[in-house]
Amino acid sequence: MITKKEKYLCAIYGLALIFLFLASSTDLIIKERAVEVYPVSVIIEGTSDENYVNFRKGMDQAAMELNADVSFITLYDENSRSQQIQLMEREKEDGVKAMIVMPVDADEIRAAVSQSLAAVPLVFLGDQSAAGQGGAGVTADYFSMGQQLAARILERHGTKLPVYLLQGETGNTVVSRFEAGISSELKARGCEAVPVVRDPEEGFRMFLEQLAEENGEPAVLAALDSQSLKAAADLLDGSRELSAAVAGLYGRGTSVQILNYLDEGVIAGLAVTDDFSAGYLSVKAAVEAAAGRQKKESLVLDSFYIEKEDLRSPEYEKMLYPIE
Amino acid sequence: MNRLRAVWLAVVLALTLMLSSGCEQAKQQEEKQSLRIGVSLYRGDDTFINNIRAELEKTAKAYEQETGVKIKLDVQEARGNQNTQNNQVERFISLGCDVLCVNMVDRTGASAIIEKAMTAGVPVIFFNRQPVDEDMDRWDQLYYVGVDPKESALLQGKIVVDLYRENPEALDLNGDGRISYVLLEGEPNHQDSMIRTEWSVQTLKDGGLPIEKIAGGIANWERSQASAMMEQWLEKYPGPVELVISNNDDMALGAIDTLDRKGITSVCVVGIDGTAPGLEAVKAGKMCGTVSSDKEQYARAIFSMAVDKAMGQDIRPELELENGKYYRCPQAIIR
Repeated sequence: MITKKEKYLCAIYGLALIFLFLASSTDLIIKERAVEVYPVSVIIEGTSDENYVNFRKGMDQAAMELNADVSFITLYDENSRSQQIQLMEREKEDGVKAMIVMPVDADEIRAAVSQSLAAVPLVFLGDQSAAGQGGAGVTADYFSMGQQLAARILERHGTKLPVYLLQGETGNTVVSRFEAGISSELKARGCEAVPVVRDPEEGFRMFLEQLAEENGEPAVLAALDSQSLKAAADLLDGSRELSAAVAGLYGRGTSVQILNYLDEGVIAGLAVTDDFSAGYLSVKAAVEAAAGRQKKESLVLDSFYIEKEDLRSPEYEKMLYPIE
Repeated sequence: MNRLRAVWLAVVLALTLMLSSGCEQAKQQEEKQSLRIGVSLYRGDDTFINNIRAELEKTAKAYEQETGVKIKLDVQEARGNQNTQNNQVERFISLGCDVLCVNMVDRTGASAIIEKAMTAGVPVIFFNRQPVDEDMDRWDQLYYVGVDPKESALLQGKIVVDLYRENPEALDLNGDGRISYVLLEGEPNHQDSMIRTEWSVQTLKDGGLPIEKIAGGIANWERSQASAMMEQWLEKYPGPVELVISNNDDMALGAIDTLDRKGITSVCVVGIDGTAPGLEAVKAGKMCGTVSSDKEQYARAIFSMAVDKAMGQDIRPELELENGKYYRCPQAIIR
């Protein structure tokens, strides 16, 4: 026979079980905070992410930590202004909360921001003047980077050799600023800068073969973009004859292949920046903007000049080969 | 009267069901103007996988331009860690991916991924590393794209057999009537590695080649490991190495790196995969030959299957599937 006291105890026990079930398995008693995921789109200037490996590592790290759903978008054609604006508009229509853009043409994007794209917060890569003009910025100072590289070239080779500036058929804001930096330094020191445009099929083969045929003073090559640097290095790597015509190949970039070429001595020196931090900080800035806390200021990352032996130094090793 | 009411009720119910399913279909059609595909790679520094990834991205872009359907391709690399890959798949599912393309870290560890995908109802296209049959048979929304490893091995063997028949001295360098070879193997638990090793050697024997194995070792598909291993062999075995059989192009290139450093040019090296650097080496005369899978077709098969499943359709009939779930990519000899 169950006593009255036992009945009460059973009832209390039952109620406690129900309470515990409701507390642990439903939102009725303890409300779980909904985690907001911020859709962010990154739109670059090129057709592949080959030169964005470290950037993407930083980007992915920030996306995990800050609950961002990041889409990395490349163009259909290299440096196409119209495609970049179209893709930005498409992403806006799809409800993205913030965009990170490596502008083909920063001025054109700023104009679009003041009109059709005004509603979406932007973080500019590679454009220092973005601060306060439609978005935040995370960038290196590419003008100074160019000056720094030119100064090291002149230090090593003197001012008598001509410096050939290797570049693609189309340019963008970063290439223009980098070129301006190199040219200003070379000009100030009385050195001649000669532009050479990359052939879409042959790369720089004809130019290098011509240099080799002339058999004159070896030339100094400075590539303005990573693709041109890689194209020239590919050719020099396979040919002693062509290499003999070149006193030194320089440029900028941190892709694995470019770093391997530096390690093998095909590339003499590189201008680099911390791409991992650029990726991380740009996503952080985008998430802050999406959450309504946008700071319209530019964060300028340091740039460095490195040679083969720097690849093994702990300071640069950590920056160039980041582990997530 | 009651019977009439029951009939009316049934008709109304049927109409409601038809309408709601029609709306659902229309909604689905409308929603599928944008597809999200999660791609997880076992590692990001494998040349062959990178070739496939590049082709996959190219194919996705072309499809986007052609159809106007937005393709969001989320590509992540698992850095050789199965737990990392499991977490990536979980994240893909939570972010609403319509379909997953997975290049397994550990082909025997697919059950956790399959479990998650089945619960969420997200189809999975595995590629390059084939999960075990027991796992593949767990659900009818699991597919695999890869090459037939036995075919790769037979073709690799054929390169050497043909070379020997054309000019025996090109392989039997010291004229002792035997071809001394070393063998570079991929990961020990990878199905392709085991099958390639077995059938390459078997093809040479079947072709009547007088072969003699000097050494063999696991270089895990990696160029640097293969290069170091080759260095050791050349020091340890002073007799001539006349042939290098490699399970893939990266390891073959590693062996060539060492041979180049030592100034040895006469050794025949054969690979499998037909990666861009591998094909370059064949063109430059540094590698006797390779077995090249059609990377464009490989990526197109993965992408087409992913799109079909994301759209809720059957796999298109032009992709002929073995047992309804395995697609074997064509391959050819390059020499």
